[in-house]
Amino acid sequence: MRIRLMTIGLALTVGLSSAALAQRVLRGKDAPAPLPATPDDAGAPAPDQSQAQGSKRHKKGEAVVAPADGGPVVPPSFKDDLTPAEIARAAASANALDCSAGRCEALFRKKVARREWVLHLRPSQPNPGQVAEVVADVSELLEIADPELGDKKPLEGMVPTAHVEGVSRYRMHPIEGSAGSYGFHFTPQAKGTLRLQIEPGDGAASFDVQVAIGQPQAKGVEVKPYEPRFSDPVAWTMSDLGTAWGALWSVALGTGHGDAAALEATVQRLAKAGTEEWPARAANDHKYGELSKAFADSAPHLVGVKPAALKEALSSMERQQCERCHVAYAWGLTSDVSAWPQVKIGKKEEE
Amino acid sequence: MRGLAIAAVLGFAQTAWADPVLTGDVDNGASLFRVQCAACHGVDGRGGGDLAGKLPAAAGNLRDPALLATHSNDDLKAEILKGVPAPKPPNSMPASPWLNGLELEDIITFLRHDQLNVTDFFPKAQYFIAKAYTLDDKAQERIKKLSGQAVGAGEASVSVVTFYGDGNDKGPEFVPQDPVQLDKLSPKDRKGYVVFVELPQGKGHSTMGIAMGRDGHIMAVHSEAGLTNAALDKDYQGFLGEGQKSEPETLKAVKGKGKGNSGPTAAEEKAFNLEYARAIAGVAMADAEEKDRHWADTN
Repeated sequence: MRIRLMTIGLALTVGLSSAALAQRVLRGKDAPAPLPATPDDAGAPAPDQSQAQGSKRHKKGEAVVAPADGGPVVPPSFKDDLTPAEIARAAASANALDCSAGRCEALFRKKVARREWVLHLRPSQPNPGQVAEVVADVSELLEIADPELGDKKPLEGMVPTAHVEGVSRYRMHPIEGSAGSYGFHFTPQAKGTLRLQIEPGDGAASFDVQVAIGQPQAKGVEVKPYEPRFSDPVAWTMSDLGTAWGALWSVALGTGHGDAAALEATVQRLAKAGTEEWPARAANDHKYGELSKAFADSAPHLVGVKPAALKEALSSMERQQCERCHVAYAWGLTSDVSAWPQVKIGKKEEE
Repeated sequence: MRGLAIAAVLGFAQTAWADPVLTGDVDNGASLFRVQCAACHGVDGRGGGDLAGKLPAAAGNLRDPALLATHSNDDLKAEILKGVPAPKPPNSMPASPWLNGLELEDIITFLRHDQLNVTDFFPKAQYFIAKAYTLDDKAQERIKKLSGQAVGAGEASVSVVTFYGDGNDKGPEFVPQDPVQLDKLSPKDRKGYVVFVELPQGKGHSTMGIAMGRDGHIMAVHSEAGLTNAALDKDYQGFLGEGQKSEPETLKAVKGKGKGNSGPTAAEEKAFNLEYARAIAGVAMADAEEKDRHWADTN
């Protein structure tokens, strides 16, 4: 229920209220995708599944047949539950999303043998030199629906490895608090399409998709906003700022090809947000407002600076602004940064 | 490709990097480290950040191979996430609860990236232990006599990694400083030691691992910089086979020993002698501690 309420809240926040989304909310957060990425991704169940005893594929409007043991009836959900009209509405909603803030994710769904994979790519359109987060939700499709889990059981205890074509191989780590979810970060270096293959590590068949870098994902890939990681809005802003900052550094170091226009938009938005969202440690502290305004005023000047000069500019801002603010309001090492870089660490605790 | 190159350069690492699987994103780890940790630990993690001089206690060198070898990823993640408590609050490392699990993995991958791997010096050993020793006045006097140089400020601590046993195909396993577990490591199974030091190399300095046998003779010398430029390690190969811990003496590099070895410069030889003397002093302290642990075995 909590997840559903959060999803509803998020949908209201971003102005999504399509029937498809509402239907997904009612089914749970990992309900089927409105559109498959390719015809092969349509998610036809494995032959043994459709023929298994005690299990029957349910089409919309059909009566659900109770299992032979008289247990509770939970209608399994399949991608083809959605009508063409629902698919069209969901696609329209996705197209109407404003993902410029980078808080959208692309979802790739696929059934491989008896498993369902849902791969989240964040942001939905990563740029070269910008860190991308990949999280895969892996579930076993159950022949007989479980009264608590439904028709899918999250697969825990796996040690998957991701092969990112032309980049590297990565160990995927379990995501805390999300059973059956595994993730990793990578930084793409070039625009284009690359193949992402995940070996589950238990001998089962691998999962693979094509992800676009620096350009929109293929038609049919679901794009939606993702839930904030933090209850504290400034933490969310700082996380985004860190990502944008990393992309700026990749330009400065010549390892990335950051899009200057996108970076400018991000930095300006984040700088503005920094003046409106205050961390708990800065409550009623006007000095925080001054520091964050100084950052907002200076950050846009980073855009368009040539890589050689950008390195020095970023280092200087880190020393003069980032560290100054973090020392007081993130790490709580002191309460007085007015004479920065002269500062007495531990003053707060001694007072 | 990078893994293959490193393995080829080191020679003594047969399998460790044959097909590397990264545990996180080095670029993102470097970026996060820069804004989360560098103020105290420095941009490269070796200490010396902008706040270093203002802190009540020194921020640790997080690129120290001995430290990285004796802390699991879970240990490091917990310390970053929850902070490191200290008796007095200003000495403690603040927590960073806003970082998620994947970001922590990126930071740790960055710290372990392009680092000497302590276990590659004795890849077939069964176990290893590590401990930092503070050199007392007597030890410092001996070092001065041996190398002709005084131990500088900040050089009075030496971390000694000691290896035991043979035949672990998966590489040596770390044994923490737990009396019960240490008691199981017999002196007769001791294979040798590794001490990490800072030495001049090329136009700068590099972290260098000196591997020594049971008797203190130098078995291997490899540097962090040598991971990407093997030529940098060649000059120090002239010290291989030199040294002993029972009657240490000033070392002279043998020119021409090792392929492409033109010998160290006078400054490099002088610096190496000081660091070897420090290493041997640390080894002597580790031996004395081991002897104390096993006094009942012989009495």
